[in-house]
Amino acid sequence: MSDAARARALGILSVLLFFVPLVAPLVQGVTLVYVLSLGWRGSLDRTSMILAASGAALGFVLFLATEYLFIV
Amino acid sequence: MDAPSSTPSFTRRAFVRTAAAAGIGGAYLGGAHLLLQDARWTPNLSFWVSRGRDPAGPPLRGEREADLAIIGGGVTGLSTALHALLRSPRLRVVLLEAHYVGFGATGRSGGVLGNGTEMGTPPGTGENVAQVIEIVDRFGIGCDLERAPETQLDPYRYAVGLKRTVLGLGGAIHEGSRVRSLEDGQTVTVRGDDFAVRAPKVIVAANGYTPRLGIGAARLFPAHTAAAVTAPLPREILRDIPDSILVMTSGEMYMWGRKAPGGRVLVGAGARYLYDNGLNYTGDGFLFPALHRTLVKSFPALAGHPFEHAWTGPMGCTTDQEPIIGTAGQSGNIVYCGGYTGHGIAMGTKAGSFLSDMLHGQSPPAWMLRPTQSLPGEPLRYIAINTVINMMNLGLYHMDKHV
Repeated sequence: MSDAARARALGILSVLLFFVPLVAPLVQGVTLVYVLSLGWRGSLDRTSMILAASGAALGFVLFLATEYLFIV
Repeated sequence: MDAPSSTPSFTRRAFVRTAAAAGIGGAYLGGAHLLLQDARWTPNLSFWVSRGRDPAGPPLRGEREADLAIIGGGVTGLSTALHALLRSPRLRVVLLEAHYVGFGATGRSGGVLGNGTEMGTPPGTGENVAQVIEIVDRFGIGCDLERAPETQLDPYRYAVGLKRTVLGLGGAIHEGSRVRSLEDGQTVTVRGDDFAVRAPKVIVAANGYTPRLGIGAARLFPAHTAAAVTAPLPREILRDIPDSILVMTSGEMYMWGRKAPGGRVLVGAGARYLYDNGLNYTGDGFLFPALHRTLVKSFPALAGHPFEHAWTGPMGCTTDQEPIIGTAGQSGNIVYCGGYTGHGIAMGTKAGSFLSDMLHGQSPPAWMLRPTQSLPGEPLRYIAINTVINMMNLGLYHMDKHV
């Protein structure tokens, strides 16, 4: 699996698992670190970077909403 | 390493700037809300208790022999003591409560009575409300009991009334007496910091606090829930509010509520498990605004009437949302009961009579002795319980109910 595909998969997982405590922020954190490291080296295309980072960010927002707005 | 594709990469400077801006913005928006605290929020101290607390009896000091030791001064423990003493007036009953009678889920509940459990009306629970009414009438318990159209009462006053009745029947109740450990044996020793009670039978009626005693942790867990009450409302607004409120939120979780004394509306909702059976919910700025928004969705006239008093605290739950009776210890003489999932006032009273029957050799209904899904240890416990709670909130998970 290429770096780009791995980053995109992590981004999707970050969203899909948003309601799983502990696991969700872990996956989102790993995604962010992965994207940051690839981005720092300039070895990730813009689309994959935006997809993965957005997935991590959206997943984290949804995770926080589930954790703190649990009366929905 | 993959070569960059046809789309151009970020420059390093643009990348760092964007990431830093997003991080700082997110931390500010999220952190500011997390740090908000609501001055009206008093953890564990319900509206009922805030109206005036009954003087607590002296804590237990020294050693004591008893025929029956009960841990927990909520409805279950008090009802067990009451029924045991009614059947065997000479029984030496010692009830130990860590804080004060009615401190736990009993005193924090809404006081709305219903037959059965969260999941329906299993055998033996069809007359739960009638039993509470009969106890209130028989012993003259002053607890603002409303019989119709909905049966509801002040749960704290009900617990205090049970306490006085048990004391009147010769039982001993020690508040401020936290149990630290149980030493198993033919005679169980219940130890606290300054006391030890030896008894051949022990009932653990601590509900959500039970796992902290190292008992029933695989079957019971504490879930924190929130409740709040408005200030007295104008008559014209109150007229349009039903006596009993039950509003489904987006998923299977629901908001419950009622009219409370003094022309108020009292509501509650939500469930959250804290890591390692945690009991101290520190709260945040999201909780009570969310509860008020949910209330206003159903009753828009309450938009300009914020909560006056709000509280949280743990209630006992099981994996199938039905209460259980279980045994612990090598001799099976430590019996625990709990997991009412918010339906504990009437069901806890009934459970007390089941436990008393057990002490006299009768078996409780088979469904209360059923095996339940075993909960794992941490961190899987935290992940599993809150994942299911989140899925229920999101409407992704449903449980089969009794018809």
